[in-house]
Amino acid sequence: MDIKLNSKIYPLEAILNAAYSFIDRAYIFLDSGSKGAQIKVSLKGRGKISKKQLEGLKGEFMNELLNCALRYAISRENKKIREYIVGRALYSFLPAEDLASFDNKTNYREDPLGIAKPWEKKFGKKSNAKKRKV
Amino acid sequence: MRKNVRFNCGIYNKKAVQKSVLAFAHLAKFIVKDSKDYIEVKISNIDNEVEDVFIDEFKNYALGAVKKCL
Repeated sequence: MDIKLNSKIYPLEAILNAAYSFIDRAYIFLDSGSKGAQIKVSLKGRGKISKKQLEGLKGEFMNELLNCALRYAISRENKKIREYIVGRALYSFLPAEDLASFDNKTNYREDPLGIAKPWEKKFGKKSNAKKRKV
Repeated sequence: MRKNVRFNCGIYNKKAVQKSVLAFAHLAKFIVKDSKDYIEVKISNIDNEVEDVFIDEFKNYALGAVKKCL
């Protein structure tokens, strides 16, 4: 059974999610039209199933698709606030001492912790010197 | 018996198709070809025991692989 879906109404991510939740119950294959505006879903029952059962499966798939499309829309709408909450939570996890000592005026070019120095410059000569002594 | 499966590039990605081919490589012989809009998979020498469901299972596996790649 083929189902043709408008990708403006049902985004590909939602279709993929709905199809994925059905792969244990049916064989599903997706294809799209030349312009990509329409996505064709081929639904085939596992084993022999009647036409009525296949219709039922299609109905369930369409319901799941609607559910996935809604979830996708909500997650898109809430993306910024979600990122903000996670960022805020991670930021507040820093110990108070670290926050107090955090100096925004420090210039990254000064590199007080010596992060930008290559390992060879930091340790290379010393280790060579040690080797020579041994 | 030879069979062709054409995966639309807008839906399936090459990584997922390759992953599926690797997973099913012990059951058939595969040739993967890229074209502009499709990834074409030519399948031959399918194991007799699984021949009935092979193509459908392969397509389902590719779909699952695409979902995991997202």
